[in-house]
Amino acid sequence: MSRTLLIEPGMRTLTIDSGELLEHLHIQIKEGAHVTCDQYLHGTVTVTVEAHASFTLKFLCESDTPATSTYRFILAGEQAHVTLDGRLRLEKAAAHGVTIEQIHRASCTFSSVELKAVVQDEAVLTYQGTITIHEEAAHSEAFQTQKNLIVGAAAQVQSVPNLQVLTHEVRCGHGSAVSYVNDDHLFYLQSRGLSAEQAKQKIIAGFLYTVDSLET
Amino acid sequence: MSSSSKNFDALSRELVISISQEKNEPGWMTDFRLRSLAIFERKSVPTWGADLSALNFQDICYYLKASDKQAQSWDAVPDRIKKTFEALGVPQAERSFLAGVGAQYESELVYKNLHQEWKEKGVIFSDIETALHEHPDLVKKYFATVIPPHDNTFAALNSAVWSGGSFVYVPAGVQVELPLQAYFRIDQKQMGQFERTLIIAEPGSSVHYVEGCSAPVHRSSSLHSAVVELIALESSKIRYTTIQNWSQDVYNLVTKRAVAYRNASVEWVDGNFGSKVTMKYPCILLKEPGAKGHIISIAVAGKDQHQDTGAKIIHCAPHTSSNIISKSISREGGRTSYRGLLKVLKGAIGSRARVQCDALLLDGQSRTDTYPTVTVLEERVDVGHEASVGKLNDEQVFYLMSRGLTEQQAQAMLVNGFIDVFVKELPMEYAVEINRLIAHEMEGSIG
Repeated sequence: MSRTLLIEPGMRTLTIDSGELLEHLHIQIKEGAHVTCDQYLHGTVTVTVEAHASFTLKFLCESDTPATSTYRFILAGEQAHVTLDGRLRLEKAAAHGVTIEQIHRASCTFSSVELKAVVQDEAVLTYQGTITIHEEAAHSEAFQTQKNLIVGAAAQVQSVPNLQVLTHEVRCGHGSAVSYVNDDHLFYLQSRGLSAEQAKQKIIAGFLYTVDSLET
Repeated sequence: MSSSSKNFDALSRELVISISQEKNEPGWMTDFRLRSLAIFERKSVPTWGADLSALNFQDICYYLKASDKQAQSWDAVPDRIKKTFEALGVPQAERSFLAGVGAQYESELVYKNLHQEWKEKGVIFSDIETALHEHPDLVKKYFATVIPPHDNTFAALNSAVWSGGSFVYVPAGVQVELPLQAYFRIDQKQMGQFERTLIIAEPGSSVHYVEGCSAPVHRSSSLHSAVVELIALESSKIRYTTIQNWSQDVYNLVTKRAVAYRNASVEWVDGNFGSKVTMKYPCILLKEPGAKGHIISIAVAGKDQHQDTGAKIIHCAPHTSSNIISKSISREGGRTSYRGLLKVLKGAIGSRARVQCDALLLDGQSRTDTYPTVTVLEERVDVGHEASVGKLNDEQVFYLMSRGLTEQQAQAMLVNGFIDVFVKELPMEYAVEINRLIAHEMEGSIG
């Protein structure tokens, strides 16, 4: 089943009832609308952003069950703006597949995706991100960052951040990193009186929550 | 292609057997070729990368006998290539050789002196056919151990019909100071389209091998499919430098792979300028603790070119490290793609890996893609990937023009700066030529 939500100017936040979590959700952000959403949606979500409109998605998800999510952002009108700021904490048998596409179809558009994941225990994260800048999307900027902290010898990460750029007046970048809880950091925190477990949790929290997200 | 080779035109068991007989090969090699042919026939052309639909295996001349010299005349060499020779300052004797019209390039004298020096140290540097006869045990021990014929379609094809290529063996503890250049050797045997190169560095040795050249190489054949295998034994060091500038009707589909044992170091330095389609992903298997891998590549794609290049590194053991730097330039509607794999296997604790891809787009018709795959199956590792895409900075062009350079010169200077990290890894004479080549290629292209 699929469904289309139309977002008109004036609507600030978007909340989707769990009853509305369909296999395929279309969200159309009309010209001039600016909307924020803070839910991590499963299934396939296509967000079409018209001219001078913006869509901001911020989420923090803690999960210990398998799930797949596909986000397709289509920047269809001039100066469309998309931001995704996601934090995942995957534990136990959580196997998550996350696919994010940033498709720029109009000029002077901007998109930024940042997904940070803590992958613990036997959890697996498979990330596939693709930025596509079409010929008509000159003067666009697109970025994606995907960072992972692996905690536990059985955890696995696969990260594929793709770029497809078909025109030249653009700025594009992507980065991905995989790291683990640093022994020196653990030692330092323990020397200040924290237990090994507390120290580990502090480091995980420091990775997941930046100053920006602590404000709220 | 010469008419006397026409019985070799079709790819068949008979062709493979006759190549093997012509070379007077031992039975195991004939069997190997036939087995590879059977594997090739079962495999299909890959569809995931560059467009290979125009490649017709029936149109390819699989083997030229040494006596079948290419009977082209200088007049038949395209103007574009002649102009590039001019711009690079390639000596006349070399020009006709590179253009495929001269049979020999006189480097015999230089070669002889070096040959003596290598011989004293026990270094073997010869074409692989000679090695197969003079050092059969060595060749048999290592041949196709890194890239078996069932690895991919083109490795199978090469294994069936291979001809030409280098064999290098460096004994334990020997440091080969000067780079070994395929160039020195080439005058003895024609540069093949199905080359097979095998380099073995015994413990504690080091060697630098250079193949190709920055001047365009003109050939009538449309497929170049080499297989290159490097074996870096304990604490040895191999550096392999390629500069590829095939003429623009060539499909360049090459398989290159190295195995690095304990504390060994392998470096691929790879420059791709020519060809119609290149698919080449140099690979390093870091097989034992402490092994290091380093891949630096650049790709330049112009009109009707697709450079689908990349790098693969697989960390199989603890405390291995790797670094990939890839630079690409697309112009006049050309397309460059970086396709890479970075894999850290279970147990490879303490491994470190860095990947950096930078792409430069010089106009609105060109295209660049980055398809990196990073797979980490171990906790205690440090892996990073970064990529950027941009164009030449207008302000920098403007600044250089205000200092008296023309727009073209300014652009060429900036492009040379962009690929400097690659150029400075090259032997000096190559570095000079690459800079000239870039300046020449930039002529007439609008930024």
